[in-house]
Amino acid sequence: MRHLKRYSALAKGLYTPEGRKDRKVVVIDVRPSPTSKNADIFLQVTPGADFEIVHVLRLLIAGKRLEGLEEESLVGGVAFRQWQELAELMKACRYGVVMFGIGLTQSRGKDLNAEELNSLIIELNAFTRFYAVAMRGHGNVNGSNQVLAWQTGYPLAVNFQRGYPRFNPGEFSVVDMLRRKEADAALIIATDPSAHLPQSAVNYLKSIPTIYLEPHENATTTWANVVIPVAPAGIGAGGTFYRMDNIPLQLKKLVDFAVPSDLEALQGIKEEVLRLKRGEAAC
Amino acid sequence: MGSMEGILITVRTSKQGAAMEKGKFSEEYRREIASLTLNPDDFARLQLGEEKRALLKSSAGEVEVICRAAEGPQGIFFLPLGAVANELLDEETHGTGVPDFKGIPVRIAAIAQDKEENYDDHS
Repeated sequence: MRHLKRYSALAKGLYTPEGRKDRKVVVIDVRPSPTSKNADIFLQVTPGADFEIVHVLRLLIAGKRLEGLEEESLVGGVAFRQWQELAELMKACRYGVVMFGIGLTQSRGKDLNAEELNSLIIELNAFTRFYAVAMRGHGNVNGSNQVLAWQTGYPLAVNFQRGYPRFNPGEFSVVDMLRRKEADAALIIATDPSAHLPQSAVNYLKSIPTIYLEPHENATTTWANVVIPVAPAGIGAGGTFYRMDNIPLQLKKLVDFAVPSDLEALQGIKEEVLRLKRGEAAC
Repeated sequence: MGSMEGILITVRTSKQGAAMEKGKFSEEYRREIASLTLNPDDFARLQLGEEKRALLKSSAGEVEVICRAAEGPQGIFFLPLGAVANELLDEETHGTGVPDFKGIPVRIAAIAQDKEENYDDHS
């Protein structure tokens, strides 16, 4: 609700002085939700039809005639007429934003759904100003994407094994690396694999040496070989936080913690590794 | 006691996010990640016991869940992403890097006898 209130639906802007009254909110989801109840239009779709729906919207935006589809024909569980109306609404608006999340990227089609949506947005910009914003679940997920992108050119699934970055989701992404049992040790930072990965991937992680930097007690802290408590980022350590719309925000440390920040812990580990590589005695 | 087949979609809930702040070992969090939401007609058809417990099975594993009815499509079940749902996920990503978190074929069956609470099996 905070997103609706502060950013997407209720916020007042230079060209939207009336806030919500100046906006049209369309929600596309597989079931009703608090967000859909606040929408002007709610399109309840069948699960797994994302690619088909976005593709039909692209064709409608391009003015293509769709043979065999009548007004009441269903596309993704919704009448074709309603997709026609949505396409017209998107073309006619002054400034449109599609906010999408894992409902799109984790459903059948996955990255292809996101690619199709990007194509739709590019094509809509021939008519009006349109953006797509990826909605992230946890704080500063965008930050790791941003830093990897400006350092390597790739936002995720980057492999440095050969001394230079290589990118290939499905090959160098964490679940695939664990499924193939390629990693023989893991350094885990700012995530809880026990809560996010398939159990078989967690079971493999449990079988290899693991070092875990984490401020809170959770299911992973119970089995990691080495747990290094760290100060919570943005509270016990300052730094840059990337908002979901890619705006970097500087966060100051609020309180002192008796434990190091992620940065300090990693620097300490790196210095010790370099010392050992030089053949010096460990501190 | 009934059973039926359906499609599982893992989600995040606001209650899960709030309970996380109390800790992932809190009773509130552990109960929320084991709570399955399903359509009221499906809920009635399962003829659940007093504690509304059911066994949910996928090709990857099986877990015990607590069912609750809410507005939504028939045959589609929603479970918060977490240690319970992870038991039902296959690690195959089809070359995308992302496992099938949504659209998982499952079978749900009511648990005949109400049991003592035991979330430790899934932690």
